[in-house]
Amino acid sequence: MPDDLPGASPPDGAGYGAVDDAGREALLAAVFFRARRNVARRISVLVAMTDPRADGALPATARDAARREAHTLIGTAGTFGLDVICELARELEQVLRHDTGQDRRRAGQLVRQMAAALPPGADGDQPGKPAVDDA
Amino acid sequence: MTRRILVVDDDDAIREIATVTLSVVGGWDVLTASSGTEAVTRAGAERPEAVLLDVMMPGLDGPGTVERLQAHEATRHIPVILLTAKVQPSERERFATLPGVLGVIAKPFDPMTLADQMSDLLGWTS
Repeated sequence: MPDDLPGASPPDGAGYGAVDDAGREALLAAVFFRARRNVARRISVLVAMTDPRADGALPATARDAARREAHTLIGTAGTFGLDVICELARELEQVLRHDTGQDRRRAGQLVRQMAAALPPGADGDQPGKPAVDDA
Repeated sequence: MTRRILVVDDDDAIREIATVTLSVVGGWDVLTASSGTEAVTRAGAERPEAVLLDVMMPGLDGPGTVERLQAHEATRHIPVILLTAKVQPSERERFATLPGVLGVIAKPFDPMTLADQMSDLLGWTS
């Protein structure tokens, strides 16, 4: 977590209680900015692990790793208002829950849809306003 | 007196938003841990009044962490609220019946109402 961003968090919650309304908004904007980058980073990991043009099944270790990433994305994307990505992650987790022998293509498609649903600037370098529903 | 709670999640983004909103909205003193093992250590050393604990974490997961907390006299009494993206009601019911667990909050959650949800489950009145 970079310390040079506005509202960069100190260890634990010390000092947050004293912020005024303007400070609170800046703090939340910075947190949402970092969260969107977190989501973009996780999706890029999934992009690297999947290929929508490939048939067959993902190797078991890759499938388990991708399923964990998808599970994490459900909570993170949804909590930060990225509802489309949240729902795609939920579907991806289901696709990867069982070895059907044909999960590679569908997983790859879902991951690319997630990447396309990222809001502009999610992997950028300056804090913006909190993310809103990307539907 | 300010409430002190421990937030445990391996995801930086969830840990951070929970810390900010529980501090700013709830007015609580928030400690954090990024793993179950760290949570057990911090809970033993700093005795929070409650723990908000993610279920699915690498290594020691949420239920495993609850088991460790329950195994120690110093942390057995600390109420735990689990945080999970699991959608099956049966899974949530199973988590909710673990010893020491007062309730389950679903992910995704609304950051601005997290403190109220926790207060309700913990029986804390403002």
